Amino acid sequence: MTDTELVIPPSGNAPVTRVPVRADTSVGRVRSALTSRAASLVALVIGVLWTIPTAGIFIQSFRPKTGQDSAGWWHGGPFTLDFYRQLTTGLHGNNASSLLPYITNSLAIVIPAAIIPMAVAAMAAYALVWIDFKGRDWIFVAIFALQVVPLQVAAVPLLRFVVSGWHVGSTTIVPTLGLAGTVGAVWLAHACFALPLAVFLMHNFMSEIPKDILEAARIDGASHGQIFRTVMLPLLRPALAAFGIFQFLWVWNDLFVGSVMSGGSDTISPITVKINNLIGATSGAGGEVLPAAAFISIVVPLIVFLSLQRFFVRGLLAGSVKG
Amino acid sequence: MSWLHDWAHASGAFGKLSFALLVVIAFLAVIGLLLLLVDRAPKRGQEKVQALLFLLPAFVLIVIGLLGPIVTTAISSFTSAEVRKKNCIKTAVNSCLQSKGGSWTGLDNWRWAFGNSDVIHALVNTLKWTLIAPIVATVVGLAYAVVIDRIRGEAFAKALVFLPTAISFVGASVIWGLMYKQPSENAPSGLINVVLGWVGAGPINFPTNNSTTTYWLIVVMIWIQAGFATVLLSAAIKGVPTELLEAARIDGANAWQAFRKVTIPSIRPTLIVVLVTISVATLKVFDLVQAFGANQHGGDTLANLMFTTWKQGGIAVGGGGTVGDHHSATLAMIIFLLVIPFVAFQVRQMVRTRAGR
Repeated sequence: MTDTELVIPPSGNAPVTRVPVRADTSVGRVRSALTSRAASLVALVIGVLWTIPTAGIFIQSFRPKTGQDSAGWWHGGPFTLDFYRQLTTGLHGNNASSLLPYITNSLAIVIPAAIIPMAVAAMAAYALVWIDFKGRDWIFVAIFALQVVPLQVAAVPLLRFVVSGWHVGSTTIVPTLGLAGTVGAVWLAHACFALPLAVFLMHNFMSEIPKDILEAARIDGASHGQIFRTVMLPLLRPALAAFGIFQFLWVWNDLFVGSVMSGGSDTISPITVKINNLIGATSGAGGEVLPAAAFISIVVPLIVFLSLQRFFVRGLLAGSVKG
Repeated sequence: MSWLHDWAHASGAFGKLSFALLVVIAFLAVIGLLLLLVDRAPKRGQEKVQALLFLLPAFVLIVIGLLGPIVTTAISSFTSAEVRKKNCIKTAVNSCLQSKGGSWTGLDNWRWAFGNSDVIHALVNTLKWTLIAPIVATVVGLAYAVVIDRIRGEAFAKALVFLPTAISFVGASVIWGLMYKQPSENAPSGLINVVLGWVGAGPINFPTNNSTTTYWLIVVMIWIQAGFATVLLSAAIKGVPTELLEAARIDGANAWQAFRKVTIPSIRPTLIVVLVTISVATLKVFDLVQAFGANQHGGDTLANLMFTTWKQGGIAVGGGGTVGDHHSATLAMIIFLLVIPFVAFQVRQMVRTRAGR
């Protein structure tokens, strides 16, 4: 590529000092062109390798059973929309295998599961960054350190708490929450488990906001509640967006929390749990619907991801590089 | 309040989604009230009271979702399960319990875990995951980040590899199930076996061969995680000062030397973050094993064994929990112990960076 060459125009009075970069000699130029071509080739190979599996499932999902059974997806058509119809609005008036109820469950889980920790973490981070009190650094480190608790440790006791409340001996300390058997059990779990990361992200972001803004508001007599609502929340928008997308993808794609907290109940299972059951149920016969089912399950996160990638990447970078 | 109960258990799409929105609105209303309360806080010692109110919601969720459970699970791993009387039919007056469970049994559950060949097998597999997946995913991610750096269409190239990050492990299992398919009388083989056929190898029964299942699942994990590594490392590479690289080249270093001696040391912190993050994810790997049914083919992991042990345990009659509950709690605690060093390391890094500010 030519733009990597160092070109110094030989005009003006100053003696031209050419920096002896390899690309400067003709041999070097050929070589750097070669390496960049080789690099492009490697990039192309990895890029193609990484795309083929998804492309395969996409093409396969439009092929009828006879096509799937006779040749690999790279042979192409004929194509049909029957599987997609069967899995959404129903085929021949039969919508028993529709996936739409599970998509609805996933949405009903993901909305509270993303918004609740957002608000909670923003408030906590505000206190930890902008209100001066003893031990706030320790509280922050402790919350961050809670990432150590694996979902495997937390999910089952939380399910028990949701189902039967909290008792010490025969005294009831917290009664049954009434969330059992609803998607509430699932989103509550996600909301709790997301907090360490959410507080960390919000804290990182808030520490970057200039102190003067807050102090000016304080001098004007604004309370912390007012500052949080009117000054901080608008400034926090990028951080909230980044976390929101991160959490959306995480919750939508989760299988473990969904499996445990839905307690095996089909009426509140998210789409991932349904697809997982479908894989098991169709291992003998009926596997021809799987590609379409899988594609339906990944299409929502793909749209979110592709349209909002910018925010997602920003969140990832804030969560790891700066930390 | 029965209408609320009915709404919460609604089965229609509209009912479910509107209830989710109701929950969010109710929740935000509570938060709003809390903020108003903050404004009304007494003037003396105001800051402390306000901080407390700001932290309260987070504190409640952390206690019920993280702190409470870790204590419960830890206790569960050191206590006994309930014992039911044999050949007894449960009635309203007879709970069939011989022992309510919950008494301290010291290390009994842990002895069970480390004496059980399934657990040891799952532990060994989990360690294989943690040794292989993070390193390979990071190396692939780094290589890709380097070769696409500043080429035409870099953003597109990055998006191609980053895309699997948005795909669930369950979706990835279907995708790779198709790739790995073995030829059978009523289905053609997957692409990989076809390619192996071209070079005269295979066909291989990938995810059902007991000795190799874990490795083929690790490939899927790498496919998912490499994009994450690429995005973080690409940003880090762009942060390496060009003057440093130019200086190295002037001193006669070739591209590889400059990469080794300048780029790698500069992006070391990010490399570590990527490695640690993927390592923690692999220690808890569950979805892929579950969706591939790999536990039936020698590919079980701790997280999956923990889930199946819990699920098979059934529901306890009393408060003591079943044997499955206690055994799965012990397995969860083993995962917890394995994660500790990684998170401890992250915490130390964070405290250091903060001190350096």
